[in-house]
Amino acid sequence: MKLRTKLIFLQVGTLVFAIAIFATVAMLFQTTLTLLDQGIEAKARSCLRTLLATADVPIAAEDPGSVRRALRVCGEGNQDDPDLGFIVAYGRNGDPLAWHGKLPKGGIPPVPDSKTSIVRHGNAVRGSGPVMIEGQQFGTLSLEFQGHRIDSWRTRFMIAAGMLLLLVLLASAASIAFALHIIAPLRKMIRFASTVAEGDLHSQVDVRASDELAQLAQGLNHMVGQIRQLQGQLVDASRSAGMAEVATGVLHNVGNVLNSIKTSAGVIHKQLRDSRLATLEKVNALLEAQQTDLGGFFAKDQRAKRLPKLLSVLSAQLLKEHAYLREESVRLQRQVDHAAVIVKAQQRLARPAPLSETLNLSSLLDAALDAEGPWEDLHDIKIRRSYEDAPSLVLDRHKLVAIIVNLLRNAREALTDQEEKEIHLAILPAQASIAITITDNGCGMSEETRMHIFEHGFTTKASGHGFGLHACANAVRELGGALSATSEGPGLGATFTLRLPLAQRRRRVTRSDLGCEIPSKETSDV
Amino acid sequence: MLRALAYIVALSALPAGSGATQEGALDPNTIVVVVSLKNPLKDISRKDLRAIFLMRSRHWRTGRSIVVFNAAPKSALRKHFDHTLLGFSPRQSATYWVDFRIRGTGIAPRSVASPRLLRRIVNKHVEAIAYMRAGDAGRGVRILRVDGRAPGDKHYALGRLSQVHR
Repeated sequence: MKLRTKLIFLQVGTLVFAIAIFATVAMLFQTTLTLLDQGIEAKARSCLRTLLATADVPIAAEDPGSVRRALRVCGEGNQDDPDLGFIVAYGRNGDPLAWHGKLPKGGIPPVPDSKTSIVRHGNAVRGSGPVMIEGQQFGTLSLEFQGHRIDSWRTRFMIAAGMLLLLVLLASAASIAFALHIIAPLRKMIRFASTVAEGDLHSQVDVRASDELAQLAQGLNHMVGQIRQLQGQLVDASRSAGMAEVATGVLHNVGNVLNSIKTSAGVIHKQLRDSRLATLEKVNALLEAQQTDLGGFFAKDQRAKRLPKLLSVLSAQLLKEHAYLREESVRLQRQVDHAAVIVKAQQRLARPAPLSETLNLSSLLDAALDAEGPWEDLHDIKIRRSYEDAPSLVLDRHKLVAIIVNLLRNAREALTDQEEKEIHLAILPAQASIAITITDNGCGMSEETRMHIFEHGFTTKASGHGFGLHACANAVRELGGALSATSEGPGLGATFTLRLPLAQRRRRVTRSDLGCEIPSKETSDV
Repeated sequence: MLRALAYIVALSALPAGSGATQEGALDPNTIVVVVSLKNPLKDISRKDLRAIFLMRSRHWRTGRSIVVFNAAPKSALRKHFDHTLLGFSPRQSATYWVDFRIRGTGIAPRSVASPRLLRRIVNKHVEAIAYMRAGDAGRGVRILRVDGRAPGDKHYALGRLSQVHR
């Protein structure tokens, strides 16, 4: 669960708890008000009972002064009780004798029924009862207790409750805002970490505060700066290593060519050493010795009779030698030319260049092929090219060359045991990316091998280290591209597809940006 | 001073034939039984009077209910009346009325401590009957003869409030 969700849950829980407490208090208050309300009714009943027992004589005597005193006694007993409305005593004929308290707006209310009753009138409790002495009614008492005070308390409580609820809501809102205020920088830092993890070491996290989170952000920025420096050093080291690797390959190829040249030179030397040119020299010496009597020599000497046949054979032999030497010299010339091309390619590949430069992919592929060639003569591998028109890319030249050279070597090694060896290079531009495919008809690979082909340390070669394709995959990812491998199975060849984005984005390159498919069972992408 | 004035007023209020002034001024401490002037009763037997104040007789001859008023329980007037008419000591009186109530027969007569209120009640209500000192009785009530004898007459049944009871 995310921190934000947790904090929101905490806030909601606190809010629910506060509302529960508030509801409990409201229920208690309502219960109290109900009890007070019932208390008013009880007070009215008690007061009526008391007055009926104590004011009966003054009422029976119909003496207003005494009645008023009696009522006042009861009223004064409730003097501190603001709930008391009024008390009215009526005589036997229904005329009011006296009253106490505050009469209602309509004046003295009419004499009530002659039976004792406690009834509610709105928020008031009205009680009345006959004044009885020995079963005879001598008058009537009526009183009222008001519930204004309870209403007032209820209103105050509602206002206080509303304010409290508002405060709780405001506090919760402030708390959530505070939580979000904390979470926002954290989310920034998480995004920043993701960006850094995707390889963008040039971004910075901006947290405008002066608290610990800001210190953390500064620490992250500093840390990423350090990583950027280290990465620069690593890039330099990697480039040097790549160049060294390419150079090693080139030297190896040059060495192979030199071997061929040495062989050709040896053949020429042997041919020249074993040449019949010496026989021709002997013929020439013989003729010079017979120069004084050249006619006699041809007429009488038996050697002169064999001389035409010898010259004929010698001529044929020398022509043959000449043809052989010419052919060998052509081969030698071609080997020298190959060496020159390799050296030139190496010079072209290894020339100082900025980190990223505009590259023509077909030229770059040809140069990489030349650096590893000559393919047909040296490796007996037929190269087939299918280059479609593709726009130029802005990429790290050395890194891309190292990748292609590595893939070409991988293809060449896969063809070792094949009779018909062929490598097919293709450039296939798409909407947002360009695919370079290198397909061989070599040993292929199983599904299990394909799944692990780019893992570090994984190799199927006896002398392999499992680093080449892994390094390739990493380099492709650094270029913002993707590398995948497909194979129909062992012995059925393999295709390595290198996808490079058209719009080179060094920051936050995603597969969707590249138009790459999600890796399926048939492909293994890196 | 007020009491003397009330006495003079009471005497002047006595109706003709009440017998109170025939032989001179009525002793204000004489116990008199009073009813409303609207009540036609003028004379009552001691027996009837006893039955009324023991709550055994509940209606006047007119059919109207009798409402009896007593003096305050511990007052000298009450003690004298209970002793003279009912033959009760205060303890017996209390026992009688408690028993009266417990048996569900009824409740004891309402006690009124104020002679003025008592006089007003009797004055106002025709069914009321009470006793008081002659000095407290006023113009608005009728003093009854008892067994044909007016208060102050020789052998008047209720006598006068003694010094002891006061």
